[in-house]
Amino acid sequence: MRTPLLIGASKRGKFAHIPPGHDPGPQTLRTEVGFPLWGWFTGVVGTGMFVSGVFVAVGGRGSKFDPLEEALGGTFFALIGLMCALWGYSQLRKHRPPSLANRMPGAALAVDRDDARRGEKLTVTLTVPRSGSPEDQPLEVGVVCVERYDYQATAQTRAGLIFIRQTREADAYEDWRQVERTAGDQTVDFELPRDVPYSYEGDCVSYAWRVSARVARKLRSDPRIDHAVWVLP
Amino acid sequence: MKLEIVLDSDRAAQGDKVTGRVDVVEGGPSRSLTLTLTFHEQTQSYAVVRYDSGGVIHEGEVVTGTPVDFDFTVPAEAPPSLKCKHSELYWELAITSDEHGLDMHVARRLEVIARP
Repeated sequence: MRTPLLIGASKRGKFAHIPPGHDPGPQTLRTEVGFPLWGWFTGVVGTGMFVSGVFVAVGGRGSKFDPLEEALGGTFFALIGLMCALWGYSQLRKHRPPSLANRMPGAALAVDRDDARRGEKLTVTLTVPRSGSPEDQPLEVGVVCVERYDYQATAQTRAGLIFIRQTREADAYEDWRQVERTAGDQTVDFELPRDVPYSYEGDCVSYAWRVSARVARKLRSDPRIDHAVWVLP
Repeated sequence: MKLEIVLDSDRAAQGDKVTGRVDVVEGGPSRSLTLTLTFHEQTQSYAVVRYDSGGVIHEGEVVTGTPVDFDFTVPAEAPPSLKCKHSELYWELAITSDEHGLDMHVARRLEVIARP
């Protein structure tokens, strides 16, 4: 017989999507990302190349060099550096979305409990500081369930077709409510439907729940504060 | 040999006792019939069995028209069946007939629901 699987166990987790008191599953452990050294390295080197390229392109090395060659070479070097910097930034953002707390100092999110059953109510309190972000960006509070599923991607190489195991994410459920930007505490109640996924940590499938506050922005990732919750069946 | 799994109910709650029978549509020589309950995770590309449990429910030849009754208990901590856009969690009940040569295998799903 294989190991019986438990819906919830006890151990304080270091994973942002799992509240304290629940264990990570095999998929979470397999896809754990440590310090994104390669992304940081590429980003720093790319930024350096960009700055150097701009310096050369504007004639920073003096009049003893051909201005046209300096402009062309510097621009090319700066563009390559910019691409590296953007790639490094995207790698960072992939694992760590922008923080709402940095944009709204003092903003805080609290949930009345970390564990709830489907069909039960969650009470969320958002503390809005005096200094908010611009009024044209709506402030929202929501509950989200993220489905993480393993997918077999293929790539053609010189050695032939290779198979790559990837873990992808999709929102399985979300319920967002717009809240006022007035300073102070705002409370929102969410009822968890009975027919939604429950929290689960599996081998090739996981379902993770969180309560979030976000500033919804167009064409950019939303700054947000997350609070992981565990939804029982 | 041809077997069919018949359950008294297609769904069961966590911790419930499930009863049913194996209808022997076409009998034949068999060493034993084994009942196995398994829990599966499945995506478009991958499938994993996270739990299995079972035992022998019949020994010896199976006779046409003579059903074999069985019962088992769904684990109290069993994750309920669940289907999402890209993945699925489900429980499956299987009967394996141990035979000379290739074993015969029939299976059907069991919907497990959360205990109210």
